[in-house]
Amino acid sequence: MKTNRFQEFITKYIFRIPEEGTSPERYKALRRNLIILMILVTVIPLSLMATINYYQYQKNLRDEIISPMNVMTNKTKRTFELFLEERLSTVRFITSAYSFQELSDTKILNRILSVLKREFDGFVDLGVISNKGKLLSYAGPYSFLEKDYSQQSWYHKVLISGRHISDVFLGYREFPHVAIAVQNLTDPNSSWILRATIDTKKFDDLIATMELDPECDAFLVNREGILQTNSKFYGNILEPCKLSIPKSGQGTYVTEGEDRNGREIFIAYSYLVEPEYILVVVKPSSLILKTWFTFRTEIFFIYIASVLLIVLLVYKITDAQVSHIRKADEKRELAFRELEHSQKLSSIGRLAAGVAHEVNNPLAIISQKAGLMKDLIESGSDFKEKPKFIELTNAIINSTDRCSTITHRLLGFARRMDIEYEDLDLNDVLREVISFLEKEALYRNIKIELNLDENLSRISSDRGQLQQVFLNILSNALAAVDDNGNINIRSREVDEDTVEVSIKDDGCGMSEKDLKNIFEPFFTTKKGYGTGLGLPITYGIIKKMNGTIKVESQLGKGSTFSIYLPKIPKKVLGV
Amino acid sequence: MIDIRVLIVDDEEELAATIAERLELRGIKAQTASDGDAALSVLKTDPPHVVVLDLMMPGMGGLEMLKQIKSLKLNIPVIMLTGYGSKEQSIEGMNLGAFDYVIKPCNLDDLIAKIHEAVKNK
Amino acid sequence: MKEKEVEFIGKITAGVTHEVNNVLASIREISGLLTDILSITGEDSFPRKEKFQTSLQKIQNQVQRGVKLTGQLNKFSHLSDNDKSDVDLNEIIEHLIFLTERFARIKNITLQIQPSSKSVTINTNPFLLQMALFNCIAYLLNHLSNGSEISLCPGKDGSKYSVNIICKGEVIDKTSFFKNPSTSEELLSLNGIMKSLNGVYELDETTPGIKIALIVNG
Repeated sequence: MKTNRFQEFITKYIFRIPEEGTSPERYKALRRNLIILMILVTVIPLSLMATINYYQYQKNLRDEIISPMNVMTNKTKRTFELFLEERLSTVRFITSAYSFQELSDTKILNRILSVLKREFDGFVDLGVISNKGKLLSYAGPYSFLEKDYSQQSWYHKVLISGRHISDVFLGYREFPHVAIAVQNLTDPNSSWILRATIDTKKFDDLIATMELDPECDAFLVNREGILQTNSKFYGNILEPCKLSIPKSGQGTYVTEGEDRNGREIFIAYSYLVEPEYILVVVKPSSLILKTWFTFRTEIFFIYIASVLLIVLLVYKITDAQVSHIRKADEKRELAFRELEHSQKLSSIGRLAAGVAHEVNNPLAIISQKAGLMKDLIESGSDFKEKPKFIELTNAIINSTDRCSTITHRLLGFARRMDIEYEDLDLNDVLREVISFLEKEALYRNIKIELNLDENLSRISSDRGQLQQVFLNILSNALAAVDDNGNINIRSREVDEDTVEVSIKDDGCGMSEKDLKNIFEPFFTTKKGYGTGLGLPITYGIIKKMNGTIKVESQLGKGSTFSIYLPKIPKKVLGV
Repeated sequence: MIDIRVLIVDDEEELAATIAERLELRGIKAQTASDGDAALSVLKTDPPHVVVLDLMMPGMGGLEMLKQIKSLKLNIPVIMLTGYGSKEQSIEGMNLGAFDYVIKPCNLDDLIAKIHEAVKNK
Repeated sequence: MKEKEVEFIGKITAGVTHEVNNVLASIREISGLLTDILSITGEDSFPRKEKFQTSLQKIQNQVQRGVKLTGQLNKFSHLSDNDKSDVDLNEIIEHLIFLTERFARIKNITLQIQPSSKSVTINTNPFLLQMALFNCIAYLLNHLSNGSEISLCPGKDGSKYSVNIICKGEVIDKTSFFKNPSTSEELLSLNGIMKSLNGVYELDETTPGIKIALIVNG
């Protein structure tokens, strides 16, 4: 019950299918609903999938960029850290391994420097600085004796933490360098600092090992955003980076953003601990954007094309289906209507017949009464009015006869609403009918010639009604011919489904005008008698049997009636 | 020439009476009955030579009457009065053993001829 | 095109009734003439005069009867002339009862009308309405036993016009009475007709007897 109510709800309110019937609205609604349903069922999953695909691909693409970038940046950061750590360790070693006196000796300092230069990349000079900030001894390309570093920030930093790697700076030199300074605290009263300078060229080399695409950029910045190496797009060394870098952070991560030129970029940040550099790698999104746009366009077109294809197919299929359904419905409707109609006719027939029967009763009485009157007069003696009386009573009796003929026609007609089929021999029926009229034909010396095909196959039809038809036509023929005239009756097989009976006479024939009207009810050329119902009834019977009747006639020459009958009647209703 | 006696069974009393009168004028004695029960009682008390039976009667109906008459086994021939539209009834009547039939409105001479035939056949 | 057949039948029936009427008229005239002649003929010259006169009178009565019948049949044949017209329910039922009386009489079933107190007129297809009522009656006649009674009661309730057909009597074969309407010829036809009339029919197994209600929206 529940499903029924649900279905009802859907059909009534959502899909709005009109009630029973073959009205075009019903099929429009059906079509509309089917199309909607089918499109929903196909397009929704398609859209879902397309959307999922879209975002999935986007994510994948991103990951393809982000992960490697992350890894690479991290690795490079580690390399940087290792490089600087190594250099720091070396300086610390020197500080520990040699005494202040030794290091104050310029000759020894030079020797150490040359070893350093040989063994490690990047060392430029070495300097020993007193705890007051004064340069005490120096080995390197730049002679700077009696230099005072007490005001410089790195000096203070070293004093605080015992070691320091500086940011890149130019200082008193022309090229960018990085200073590594280590404090020796063996004698707290007289601490001293060993300071080494590293060439930042190594930084560039390390960045170059990343082997980035020309559109990419990688550089080091300090926590204040000052570039420590040259950036391709965002400034030169010791300039503020044109890209805003988040000052604090840790580890390595990749984000998306926009640079000041509006370029969409991926930025990888890797935070070094010592020194507090930030390794920044920039990759423009356009690299992947191209792939992404191609994909997006592709998927868009495929989606649109699919939807169009679906819609087209759905329309075509639904059309075909609904039209099929409608045809089937129409056929069924038609069959029902035929059945209904034949019932209607038969009830009309019954009603009319009933009344006609009733009319017969008073007629019978009148007839008998008049007959009685006639008996009384005839048996009685003559009197003046006797002939008149006889004439008048005869007139009454004739009238009742005429009436009964008429009502009989109606009754016969009404009865013939339905055809009762039986298997019969057409020639037999013809012969029966001829025998009814034999006497009259004989009496008037009319020759009835028979051309009956003896091999004519049996047909399925209503015997009584066939008799009626042939009787009618033959009677007409007899009425049309003069005495000594000729009537020719022929039966033959036309094709495998049809037989033909033709009745030809050489009587008076009919004019073209009359020919047109002979099947009209109450049309008759028989003056004074004949009801004009015979041929219309005949026509109706033949039609009901799915046959045809044709007439040819020439005024003065004669007429030929041809009747074509199906051997096996087509059942109108498949009931 | 024996006196033929006929029983006319028809619910149209006027009609039965007139036919009876006309038969009388022709030397055939006729009685009338307007329903099945009356007819059967006449058959039992004073059986005629021939019965003329209207098929279109209410109540028992003509065919039923016919069966009952036949069941009395009096060997009385029955001539049916039928309407034109009830051909099937006439055929069935013949199958039930009726002697012959005339179609209403009937031709008296026809009827008389058939009555004579029926009497002869007995 | 199917309506042509109905029209055809209507035409034929009408034609027949006219012919029969003509004949009845001429019979009436002839017997009238005989009556006249008889009235001026002396008793002695015509011994059976009285008998004659009674016969003639009887003929006139029968002619009258015949005329009434053909009148009703004629009315019936003209029902299909109009697709829609004002129909007095009492009248149409009385007409139908007259037309179908013989069917009921043969089965010893009484057919009568319980006319509505106020006359009820509906604008509809008179032929179809007649057919619908006839189908109901035919159906009932097939299912009721001897001695039953069928009463037709027209009525009106707002815009709904109804004819209640109430039966008193035994139903032969009750199981088939309410069986699927599409297997009964009359009910199948009735179904179609009621649809065309924009109405419905209901079979009602209330005791005593059965009720068929035809409801048509005016």
